[in-house]
Amino acid sequence: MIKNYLIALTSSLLLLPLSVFAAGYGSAGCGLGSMVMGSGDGIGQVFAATTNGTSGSQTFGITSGTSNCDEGGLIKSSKEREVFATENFTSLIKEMAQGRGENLHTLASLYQCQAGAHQEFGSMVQEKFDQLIASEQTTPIELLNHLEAQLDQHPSLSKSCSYS
Amino acid sequence: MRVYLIAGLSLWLCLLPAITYSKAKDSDNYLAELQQQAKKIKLSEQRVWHLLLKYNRQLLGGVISEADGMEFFNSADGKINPESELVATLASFFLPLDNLTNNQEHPQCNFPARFKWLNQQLKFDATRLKIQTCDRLDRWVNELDPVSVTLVFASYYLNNPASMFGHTLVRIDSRNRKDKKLTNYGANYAANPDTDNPFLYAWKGLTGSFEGRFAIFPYYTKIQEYNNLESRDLWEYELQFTEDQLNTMLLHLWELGGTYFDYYYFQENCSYHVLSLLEIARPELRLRDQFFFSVIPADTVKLVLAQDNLVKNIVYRPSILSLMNQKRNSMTSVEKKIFQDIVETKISINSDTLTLFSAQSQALILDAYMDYLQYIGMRQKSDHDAKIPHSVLLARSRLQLTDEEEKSIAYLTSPPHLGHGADRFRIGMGHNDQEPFIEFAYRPAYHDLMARDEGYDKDSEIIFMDFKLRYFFESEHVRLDQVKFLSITALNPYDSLFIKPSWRINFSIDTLRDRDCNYCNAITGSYGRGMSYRPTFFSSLLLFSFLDLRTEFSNHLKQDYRFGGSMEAGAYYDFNSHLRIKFSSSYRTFFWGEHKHFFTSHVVTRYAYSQNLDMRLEFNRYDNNNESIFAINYYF
Repeated sequence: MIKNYLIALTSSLLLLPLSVFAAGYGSAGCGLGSMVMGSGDGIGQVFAATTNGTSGSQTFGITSGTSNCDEGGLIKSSKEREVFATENFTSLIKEMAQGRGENLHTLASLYQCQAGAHQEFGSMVQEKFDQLIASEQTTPIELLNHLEAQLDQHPSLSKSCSYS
Repeated sequence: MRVYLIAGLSLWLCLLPAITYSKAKDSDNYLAELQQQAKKIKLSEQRVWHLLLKYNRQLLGGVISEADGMEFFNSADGKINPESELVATLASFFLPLDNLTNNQEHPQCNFPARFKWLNQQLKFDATRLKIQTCDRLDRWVNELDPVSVTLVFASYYLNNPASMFGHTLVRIDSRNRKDKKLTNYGANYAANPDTDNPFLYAWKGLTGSFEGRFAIFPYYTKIQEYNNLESRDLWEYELQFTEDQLNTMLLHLWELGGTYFDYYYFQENCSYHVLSLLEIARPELRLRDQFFFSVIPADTVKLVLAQDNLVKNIVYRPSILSLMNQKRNSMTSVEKKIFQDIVETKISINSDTLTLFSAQSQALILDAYMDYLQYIGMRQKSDHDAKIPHSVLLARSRLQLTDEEEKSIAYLTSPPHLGHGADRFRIGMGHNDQEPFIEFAYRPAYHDLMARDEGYDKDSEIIFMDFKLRYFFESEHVRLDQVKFLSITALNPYDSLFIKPSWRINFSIDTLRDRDCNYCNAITGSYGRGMSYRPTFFSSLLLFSFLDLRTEFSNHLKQDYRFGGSMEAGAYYDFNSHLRIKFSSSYRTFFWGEHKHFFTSHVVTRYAYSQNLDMRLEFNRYDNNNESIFAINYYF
């Protein structure tokens, strides 16, 4: 009786810390094959991409959310800014409030702003922060719309950046 | 051969109006010619062919491909027969387009790296072998258009010991993404675990029961995952390759995208497959041959760095927690206090206590606070995309610092390539109360708390498969002294922001050292929780204490087992980067099975001679038994 109890106890003891192996993600120590970032508005699903034999062709394919991706598993260029802003939303708005940062410069590059204009771009978004992110509920898409409106009005950035 | 070619060509030209029949016949002839030529120059024995098909030598002769998806092969026995695979591959290149079902890609497009190499070797005659256009592949290659490739190392993930060895992936650096590096694509090899059961998980990982696959992602999603969600530091090693080599690598990756491999946690893991990508680009690199038992990600980084002219540039990308701690570390004590009060919501970000500080101080505090909120927010599964409250962002946006008034900030972690090798061989001499002995030990992984901690997490230890033998001179016995199957210690020094207990687990065969039973063995298991404390980030003192549950099984014990607990307290102290000392003392009590209670104490000093060599002097006492040992550890 006592022995059984002991065995149960010791095995549950061994189970305790090991359960962290299975915590959340985890894929045999080497990170993830497929990882969904962001939350469920569809774009996040883009990266539930794995390599599969879609349509019988042995190439990099996408399992879901194909609307943002081409058939090779790359982001459609028309969707690049949208996907980038969505996936990096928190990092991006943090850097907007700071007026600098790599995510911000990447966004400026995605708007084809010349490298010399990146600092100006950073100052502008910091200055206009309350208009770009009007509230807690502002979505990434709204942010980009507001940003484009600001870029249009801006005396120099409207020239050094270009987008359609 | 050339005569044949010319003859064949002129014949074809002369009979131009003549018909598909002879055309088909000619392609049959040409295929036979190519197959014969390949055989003559023994193409199927060449290293590149073996790299392309992932062939590995078998112990008992012959080869076997690591690829496990059968679509990867053109020949039914392609997995074990390089020659028949080469013959079948050549034949597949002649496949008429009409034979393809809808949407299927032509083999030339499915296996472009093999096509490229065979074309280089055999100089395909485009008039006799129809070169297919591959739209999907071409678009993919043009979009990625690599100018360089970067090996990315992700350090351990605190909450997941299985990640403690780190992770590697490659980033493809595209020509048109130079000014937006974050949008480059990363190629990642990982297992798809299909179980949540930790035992099954460990077992399947060790025995290759998971499917591993390559996938590509925008690099920024990997940054969000590793840097921000899991808070792992990233180290980027930009590598030197020619554009043609990069093209080969990319074409090979395209081929790999369609197959899978059995995932072995220690051997055929992420790093192993990443190395094979580098080898296909530069076949003269023999990276995977260097690994004997296990391929540990940090070791692959060291290996890559040791090659001539391979690493161009190293970039550190701190995790969100490292970024926050860098800022905290650079704060004055007043700033630290305010920061702590804001985190604990004792004061509001708009209160005078904060706003009276200089703009620079306010920015530093708010920046650290935003890192904190982002880190916390990432870990909560919420529907809100914004992890940082609007009011905090607004407050920070009003602080428009003109110059870069940022203090230069000290890094808290050191790069993996500076760490010692994960394999360790140890030789020691010692004396116990009765007699002198020598000891030999080997373990394939990974790091212990007494070792030099550069390149490693300085608060954790993971020891895997550490075998130790002792030879006793007077009793003339060889004894198994200890086998640590797995031992993990995570000291989480007290941090007022995140209070996390320290913990440790150990599963081993050990000697019953508190009694005289002629060095008899016991199977032991223990699990404990504790607290540890380091005064500041860079302090050389680390204090710890643990409460453990402990069980031992041995036929030398009265009821074959004993179960109890132990209390331990101790300290580590660094005199400098070479010299470390550890003191610890514990009280063990066994109250089920055989009853016993006793004290143990340990004093260990380590002198690190170089990156891969250290010397230790140890004194151990178990109950009334003493031993002292001088040992040399070599890491590789």
